[in-house]
Amino acid sequence: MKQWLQKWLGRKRLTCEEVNRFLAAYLDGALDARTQTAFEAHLQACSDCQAYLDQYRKTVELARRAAKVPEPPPELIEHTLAFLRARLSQQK
Amino acid sequence: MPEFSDTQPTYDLEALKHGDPAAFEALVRAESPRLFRFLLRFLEDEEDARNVMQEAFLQAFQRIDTFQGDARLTTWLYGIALNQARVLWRKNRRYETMDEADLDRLQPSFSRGMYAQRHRPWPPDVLAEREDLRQLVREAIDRLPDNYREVILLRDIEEFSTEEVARLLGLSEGAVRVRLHRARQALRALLSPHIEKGDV
Ligand SMILES: [Zn+2]
Repeated sequence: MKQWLQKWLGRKRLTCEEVNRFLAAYLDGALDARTQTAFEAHLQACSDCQAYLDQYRKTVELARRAAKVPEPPPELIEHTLAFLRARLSQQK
Repeated sequence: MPEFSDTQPTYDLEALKHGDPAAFEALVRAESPRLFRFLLRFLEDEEDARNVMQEAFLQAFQRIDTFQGDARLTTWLYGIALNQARVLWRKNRRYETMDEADLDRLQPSFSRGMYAQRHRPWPPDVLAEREDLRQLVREAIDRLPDNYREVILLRDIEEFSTEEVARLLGLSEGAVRVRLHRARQALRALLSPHIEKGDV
């Protein structure tokens, strides 16, 4: 479609590269309404971008799951408070 | 799942600024578990995590009068802890980290606006609990340059909002997203060969 015609119709078309650049903002829900519409329209028609988004989302999820740590030891809070009391009383 | 509740505790800032011990104790009790786990993820060592946390609380108490009410108290506290954790992490680094050029190479390339390489969705079972994959992901995160590793830890793992991460790192939200995007794409590229070969 001719640029001026697209503009006149008020539609925005995105390339895969632009869709890629918007991924983080898209997942944050931070795209403006017009861009969001164009983003989703592209996505629906493009299996490459769908696949990439799938991998991108799974990467985020894998990072989250990889970082599991154990529950803090039960004495953590009391030890921290004891440390702070000792240090703060030294200063007085 | 995030272990912390979405409702932000409110602290008695006036009492804190007056040095009220009960108010400090309430802050320590409420924030320690999450802060400790954040530091444990960051530093990967219990002893280090405990030490940094204690020092961070100490500094927070000593400098409470410099706290600006426009930031959240927890964000401010994490900022203090992060500054200390950073120094220690650099000192104890276990992996050689990548640089910007390495990161560039891990970004997807495009030709005339389209992906230069084809992509296929990853199999759903890639999210199954597997220790070998977990280890691989951890190492990949640890190899990222420090400022990229930090955004992944803060935004994707700790699940701070982009706005909070921006405040913590002194960046705009747009800059956080750009950095986060580069980091995620690099991770994706590092993991992709293993996942697609099916060896994890
Ligand atoms: Zn596309």
